[in-house]
Amino acid sequence: MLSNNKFTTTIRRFGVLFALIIVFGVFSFMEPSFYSLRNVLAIIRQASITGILAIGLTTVVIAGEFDMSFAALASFSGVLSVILMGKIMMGAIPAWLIGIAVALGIGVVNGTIIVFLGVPSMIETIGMMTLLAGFTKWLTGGSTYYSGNFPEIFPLLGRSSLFGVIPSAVIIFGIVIIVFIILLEHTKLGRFFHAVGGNPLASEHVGIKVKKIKFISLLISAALAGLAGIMIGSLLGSGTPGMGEGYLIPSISSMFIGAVFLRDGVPNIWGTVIGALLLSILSNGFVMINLPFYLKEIVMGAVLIGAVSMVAAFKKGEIPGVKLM
Amino acid sequence: MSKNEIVLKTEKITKSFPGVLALNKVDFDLKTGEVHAICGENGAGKSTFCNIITGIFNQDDGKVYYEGKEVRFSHPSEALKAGIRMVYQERNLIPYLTGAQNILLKEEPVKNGLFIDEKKILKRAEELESKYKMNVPLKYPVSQLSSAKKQAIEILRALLYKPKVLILDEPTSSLTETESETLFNVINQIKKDGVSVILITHKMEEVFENADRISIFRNGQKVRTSKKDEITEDECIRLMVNRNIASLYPPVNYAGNEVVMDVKNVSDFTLVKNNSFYLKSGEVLGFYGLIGSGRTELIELIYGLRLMKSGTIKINNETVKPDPQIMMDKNVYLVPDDRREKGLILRYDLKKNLTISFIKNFTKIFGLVNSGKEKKLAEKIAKNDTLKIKYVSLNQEVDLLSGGNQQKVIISRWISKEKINVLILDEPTNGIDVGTKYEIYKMIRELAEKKNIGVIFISSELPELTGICDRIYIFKEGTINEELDRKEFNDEKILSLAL
Repeated sequence: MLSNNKFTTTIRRFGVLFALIIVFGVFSFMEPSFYSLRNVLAIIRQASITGILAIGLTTVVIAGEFDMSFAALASFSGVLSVILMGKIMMGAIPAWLIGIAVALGIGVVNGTIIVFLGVPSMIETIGMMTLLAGFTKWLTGGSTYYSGNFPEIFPLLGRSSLFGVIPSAVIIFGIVIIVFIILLEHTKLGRFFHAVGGNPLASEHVGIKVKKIKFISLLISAALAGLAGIMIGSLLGSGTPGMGEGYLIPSISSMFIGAVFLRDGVPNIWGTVIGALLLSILSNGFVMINLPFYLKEIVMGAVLIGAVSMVAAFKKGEIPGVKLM
Repeated sequence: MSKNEIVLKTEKITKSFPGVLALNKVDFDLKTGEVHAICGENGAGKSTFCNIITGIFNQDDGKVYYEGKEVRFSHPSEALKAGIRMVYQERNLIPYLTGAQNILLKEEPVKNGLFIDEKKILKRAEELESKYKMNVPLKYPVSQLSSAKKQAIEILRALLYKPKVLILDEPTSSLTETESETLFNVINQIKKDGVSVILITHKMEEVFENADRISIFRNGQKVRTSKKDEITEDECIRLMVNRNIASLYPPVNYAGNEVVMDVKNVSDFTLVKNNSFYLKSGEVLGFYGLIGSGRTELIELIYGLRLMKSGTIKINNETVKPDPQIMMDKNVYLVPDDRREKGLILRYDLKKNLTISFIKNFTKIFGLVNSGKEKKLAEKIAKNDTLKIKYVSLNQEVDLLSGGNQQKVIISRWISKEKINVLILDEPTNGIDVGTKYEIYKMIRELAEKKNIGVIFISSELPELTGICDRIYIFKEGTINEELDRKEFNDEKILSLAL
């Protein structure tokens, strides 16, 4: 009963990590510049925004809900902070803080409707995603917003690097990973997220406030979406509607890829991080070895379906956190 | 803390759910340090009663006193705080947390003001384990453990809080005898510490070995409370069985002749273990057993709703595969136990619910539905002579019909078929009024005697089975324990075979 076959269990638990190493090895073999420090850091930087968004989603799914609005929320917060800097000459730091604060406000709205009104999170957040996309277009007038007045430190979060080597985004990603590993695996709040997502009725019976915990998970996802949004703005040096939406599918994929890592079918931070890195390696590698432009989406889609199928096979039931009705 | 002090008391607790009076003026008291068993058949109101004490439901009427004061818990957490713990029948653990983590859930020790102290969690769980001399794997995710070990973890979790009142709902239903013994050793130990225990169980031996007092519930009423040595096991069973409505049952003329369904060695090796039975045409065959004893599960295996791992099924001497479509083609029809979940399509109106099983009869080329034909057919089914469905319009929502009428809709679907070999009815009278019950009993006898149909009638209510069946199979823990002919029927005997 307890791990009857150690070998297959290890393969299953660490399969995603093996896949990552194999894919990395294959690309390195085909193109030696692939494993240069520069490119490896570029891969991690590419993974960092996806990873931060996916960590927010992971938290929500662990608590038994789902979030589809985080990418559109990232666009909205990012564009808002860029416009505050360019149009009303606000300093970068207050503009960023307002971006995150507004994202938190959206999180409160999501949480209230989902948890206290009882609307399925999948549906509510699809609505919020669409609504926010509209507001973002309204903010920019529908096109890319750029200004010559951006503050000097505007590129700090996305385009600068420590000692000229380590990109700032990688550092932020690292901090987020550490904070969330501690939060989810080593604190009471984290334990409650797992409990509520694992068995809400049982959690209620030991006196955990299930609604409150779910609400907090949605706030966390929103806050991380805000953070990712201001990072994207800083990276692009402008504000564009849809600049966050491109991260939606990779983030969801990362979470599901991660859900087959370590624990069978339960999302976790390490798994999500590995998922984000794997996707980043794939998309970077495709460019480096000159594969046809359309192949990236085909592979990304296949990876998502494959990961969800594995989760479904392990869970022998519904996909965690995805309730449509 | 004196031994005879009353810690918990209820006065005239009444609770009704739509269509059912679940509890009717229940007086009950629990003394400090006693084990008080509550016995009763399925649906007698035992669980509802405990759910009121623990704040999951609120009573419609009546009072609960705890430690001398009137209380009304509106959320389980309030009862927990007051010191009332319940170990529920359904498993209440977080699957991928370890045993120790589950025991300490919500009570995690924290170091440096932030980090959960996993070592201390394990240590405290181990302390509890050794204090109560239990042997539980604490370091593995509970999803990997057997149900007995899960049960032990739940009990340790309840004991962590040093409760004053501990309610155990069917604690031994998944335990072996040795495991049960360990559990009762723990119960005796905490009893000496002054903990009061309410024990809900079907198992008579356990009651008479461990309880100080016994209360018997029947049909939502508490019919008697006695000290253990002032009541016998037979008396207890007799009080649990309701025999007053015997006059409801139509006269029985046994007419069974040739075997229509022959089932051999059917298993899924978990809930259903190696069952064989036969059914004759014109016979009403009863399946009796507690919920979870395998009776519903056996039918679901045969009908292809669960995966059958071994066994053979013959309909009219022809081997058939367990598959719903094949069964219907062989004119074997099933009325499932949960009419709202498994029987009705609530978003369809009455007409569509009536005609769903006949859809082939009124569709034309390309599957287009002929609504005129459908309407005529629906009228014909709704106005059948056997079961009179009370409805306003064929287009009304089926959700608004009473439970009895909903049940008639589902049964009518099948009895309107031209040819029926076997009709299987799973708990058809559950939660419906007495009048409709009688109509269904009469219908069952008529189908068997006049149309020569073989009927399988699954029920948890013994009186209705002994009232209308020709033969009864008694299920216990996944297996048919005994087969009785009508002349051998005896309520007490059947009940004791099932427990």
